[in-house]
Amino acid sequence: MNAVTSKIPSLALVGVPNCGKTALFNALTGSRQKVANYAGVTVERKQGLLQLGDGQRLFIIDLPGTYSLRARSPDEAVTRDVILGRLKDEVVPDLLVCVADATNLRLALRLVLELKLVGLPVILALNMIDIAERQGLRIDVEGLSRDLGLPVVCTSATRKKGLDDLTGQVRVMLEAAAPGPRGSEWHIPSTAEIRKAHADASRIMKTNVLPPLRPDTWTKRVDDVVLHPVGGIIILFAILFLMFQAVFSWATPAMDAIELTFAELAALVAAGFPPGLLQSFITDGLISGVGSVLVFLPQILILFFFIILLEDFGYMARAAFLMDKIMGGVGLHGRAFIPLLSSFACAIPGVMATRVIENQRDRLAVIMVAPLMTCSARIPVYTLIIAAFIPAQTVWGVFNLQGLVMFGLYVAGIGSALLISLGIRLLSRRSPDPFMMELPSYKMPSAENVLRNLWQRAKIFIRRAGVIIFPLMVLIWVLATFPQAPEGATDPAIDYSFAGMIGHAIAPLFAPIGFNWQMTVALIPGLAAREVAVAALGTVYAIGDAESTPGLLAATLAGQWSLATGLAFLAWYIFAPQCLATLGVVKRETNAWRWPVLMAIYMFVLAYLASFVTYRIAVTLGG
Amino acid sequence: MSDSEQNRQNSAGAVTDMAPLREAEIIGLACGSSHEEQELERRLLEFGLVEGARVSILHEGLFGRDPLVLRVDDARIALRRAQASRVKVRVLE
Repeated sequence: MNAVTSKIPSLALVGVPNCGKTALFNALTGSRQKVANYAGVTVERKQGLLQLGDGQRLFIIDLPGTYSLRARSPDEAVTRDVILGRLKDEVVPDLLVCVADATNLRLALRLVLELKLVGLPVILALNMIDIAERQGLRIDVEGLSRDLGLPVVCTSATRKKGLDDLTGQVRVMLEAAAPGPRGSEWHIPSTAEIRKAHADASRIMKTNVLPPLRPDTWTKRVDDVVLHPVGGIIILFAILFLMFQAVFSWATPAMDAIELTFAELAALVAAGFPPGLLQSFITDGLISGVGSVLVFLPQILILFFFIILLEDFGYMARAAFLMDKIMGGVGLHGRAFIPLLSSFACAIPGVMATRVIENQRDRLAVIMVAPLMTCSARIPVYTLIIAAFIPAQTVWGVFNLQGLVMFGLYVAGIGSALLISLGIRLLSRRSPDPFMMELPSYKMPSAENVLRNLWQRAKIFIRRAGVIIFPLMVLIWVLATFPQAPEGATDPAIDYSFAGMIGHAIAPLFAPIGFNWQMTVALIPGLAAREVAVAALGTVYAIGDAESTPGLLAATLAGQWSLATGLAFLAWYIFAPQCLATLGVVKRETNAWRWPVLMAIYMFVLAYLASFVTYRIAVTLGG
Repeated sequence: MSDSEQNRQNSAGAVTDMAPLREAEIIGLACGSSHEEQELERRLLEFGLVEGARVSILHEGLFGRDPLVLRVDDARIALRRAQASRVKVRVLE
């Protein structure tokens, strides 16, 4: 290192998708990671810090996977721009580590040859070397290094093997690197140049890599089942069904425990403080508000658990393959399946995941329908209303009626997303963009990575509960408490408050769809995030009716609302864009106000219509 | 290699016309010279669909046997028939 430049050197991890790049990033940086966005674009930037042992530190950047620097999607463009130093305000890496799946080298070797043209020092990391050894793959590492003209190290991110070799090599390269700008010879390759690189990669492969003695037959055997034309689709839907049933049955004990804890906490506070404003603020405002949101953490984690597991296992690409034709019928790309599935957890990562879709119009179509997928923030609302109005009985011997209704709500969301996509396709009338993706070999997910991912999700949710939901709950409590009822008032206290006034004011607008004013009060803070509506209802009813306790909100609602109203509320939440954060992300991703505004309008209109129809039908049928 | 030359060889055709599990060698990509066509050709090349590569059909979708999964050397590539039909192959005995 040049002593004059005191800045911390940085290295970028580059590789084709599914090469274990992120696992290597995690293994190198441990918990010293920062996830943020690149300046100006919304591609997620994962940066971490590596201690080199002698006090020297190194920034590690995890770049989105790509087959070529000839970027097509916004994601790949970031990889190209960081490597070529074209991104303003971003550090140009001092060193590139090209991560390759040792069991699937061919395409990676072509990428390495392309990276060499950039002019930065490059190290090739043969990752997943443990799997390659198990398969009896014979790689001449020295020969490979000689033919490629760059250092090659063997690593296994999941087993934490070869990491010292890699960091040692990094140090050698950094010390040897000449300071100052390096000339890049990279340009967009012509088809002839790609063919030439392939020929070179093939030759290098042939001389240095002998085919495995015990090839992976596992992937083929699993694929024969899960990619079976008919069976594969049945299995996909069975997995999705199991996933949603699990969200309901597995989460119950944990949810009961959280509810009990908060109820006891509230009781403890109620006993310790004299009755009055302070006691009401703590029990009704804080504890019941935050508790009614945190109670859904188990369900959200179970949902993410399935998504992370399927992704790590390698199934998600298969799901995209199975769904391509089905979704293609309504103009969606097979690749849209992954963003849409992520949207079941939260539309924000879903909208952001559309960056893998190359064509801008395809991408826009997916963004517009992603919020129709039932996100985890709707679960609190759905669960509450279902618990209040749908009996917990078993139907057809095996299915839980509440679970079935929930499933129906998910289907309604998916169905409407498909219809809207069809509408978009008919309006835009154009030929679909090619669908092409590599199906990775199946891998046993690493417990550590799954847990790390889950932990990040839990942190995001709790932070959301703390930063967004908590202040809103305080605001709701203030609105619902002041001004206080006059002496000797006969109506419930909340009738005299600001919340009561606002609720009464807009209630006529919502009367045709069966909403009462307590519900309209809850809808306003619910704009910030859907689950806030539950907390707001809890607060509104806990204050409005002294007899009820926060844990029994469902029972209170069952007593106060008609079945038709309950169902109309469910229908509202299938469509309503009750999430400012999603609209904000759509604005950022599309770089125009037009799209979030259009989204908000179409979703509100749909929500109102759906609630209206549901309410009227339910009333007619005697609900 | 021109189309007529290809047709003279019995075993030559598009990869999409192959019977599943037969192995073939790629002999060319039938892409035009327009910008869009060149883009497609580069994309196919980047996924390893290059002259000399060994291909076979591994899986096919339910509706219209579309999309399909090809084994291309050691990789599994999923793509639609419309794009796969550009890949010209010679079936290996």
